[in-house]
Amino acid sequence: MTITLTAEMSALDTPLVIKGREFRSRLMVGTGKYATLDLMRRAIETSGAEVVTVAVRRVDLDRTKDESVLAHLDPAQYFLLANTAGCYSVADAVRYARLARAAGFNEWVKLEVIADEQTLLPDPVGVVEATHTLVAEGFQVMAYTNDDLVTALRLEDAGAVAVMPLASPIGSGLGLLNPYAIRTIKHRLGVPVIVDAGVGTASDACITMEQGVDGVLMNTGLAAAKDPVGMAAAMRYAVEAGRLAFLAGRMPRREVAVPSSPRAGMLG
Amino acid sequence: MPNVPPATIFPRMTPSETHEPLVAAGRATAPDTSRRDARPGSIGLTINGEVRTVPQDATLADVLRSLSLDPRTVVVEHNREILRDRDAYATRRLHAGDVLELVHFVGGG
Repeated sequence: MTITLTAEMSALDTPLVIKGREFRSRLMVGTGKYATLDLMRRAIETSGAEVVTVAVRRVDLDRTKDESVLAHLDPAQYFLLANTAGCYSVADAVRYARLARAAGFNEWVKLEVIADEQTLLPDPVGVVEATHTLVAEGFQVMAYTNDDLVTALRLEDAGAVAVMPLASPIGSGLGLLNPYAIRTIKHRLGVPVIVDAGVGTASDACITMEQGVDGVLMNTGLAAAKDPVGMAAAMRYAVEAGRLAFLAGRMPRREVAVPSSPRAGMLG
Repeated sequence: MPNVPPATIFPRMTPSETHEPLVAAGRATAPDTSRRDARPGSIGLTINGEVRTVPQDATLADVLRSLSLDPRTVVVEHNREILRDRDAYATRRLHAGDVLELVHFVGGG
């Protein structure tokens, strides 16, 4: 499939900028749960994403499993954003962030402090505390959080370079559950708002972007699609469509019909 | 993808990136591998949660080599201290009961 980014797209929108760094796409993608690493590589390529998340885990000493994800992704082509997924305490999240930084790519981290195993909902107190710690150490923190305005404001105060409220729980594919909350967060924050988690299909991504947020991060929505490469193309267009619709400004909703054709000039 | 690079390689780090120990070195969390080791001239380490025996005078670089790991593709935590200078692996001494964590990037969201 050939994806052509139209020239007018760049004329209609400004690039996503986080902490002075410009990114070529408002769509960010994860690298987990793909059936094969080759499928992952093709889906990510098709998505047009520049920011690609990775997780920090032990090396398999007996090497029975596949090797590092970096064997399949060119770090020169993508911006690697390490996450602290799976961390249930501030101490663990900080430790994983430090390990990720020691890999030597950048000082950025997608900070997750998870509170509950069933919902994987974030720990708002923990994520604010960990943000303080990591910002003091020079990290650029993108903080995963609930769709709660007050936590989002606290994260901005703590020095997060972007705040990442969820659309719905990680891996749920339930789409944007609270557009009002996301809009409120976007209105009140100065730093970019990237909606992370829960986007299940293209309409979810589009509706999310229509709220005016700066970007969307997804993983399972692509990896668990029947055809991840096809869904990556759909998501790419959906994010762009939602962004352009937001910028264009939708018509007002009304409860009654208004004809599009003139009432005058009808035959007698 | 045209020209797939040798992407398993982490970028080269400079000594200026070397950090102080982030957590005080300690062996309290390790199983007592110092005593279960029977062979003279060798010591027990805990590597990624597994007890492994290495020669007494082995350096960190030796251990990585024996595991067939390219030092540029892993990050090493030695007794809770993250090592940010890969050039120092060759002189990094290991002691009985030491705990090593060897990590890399895997798929995640």
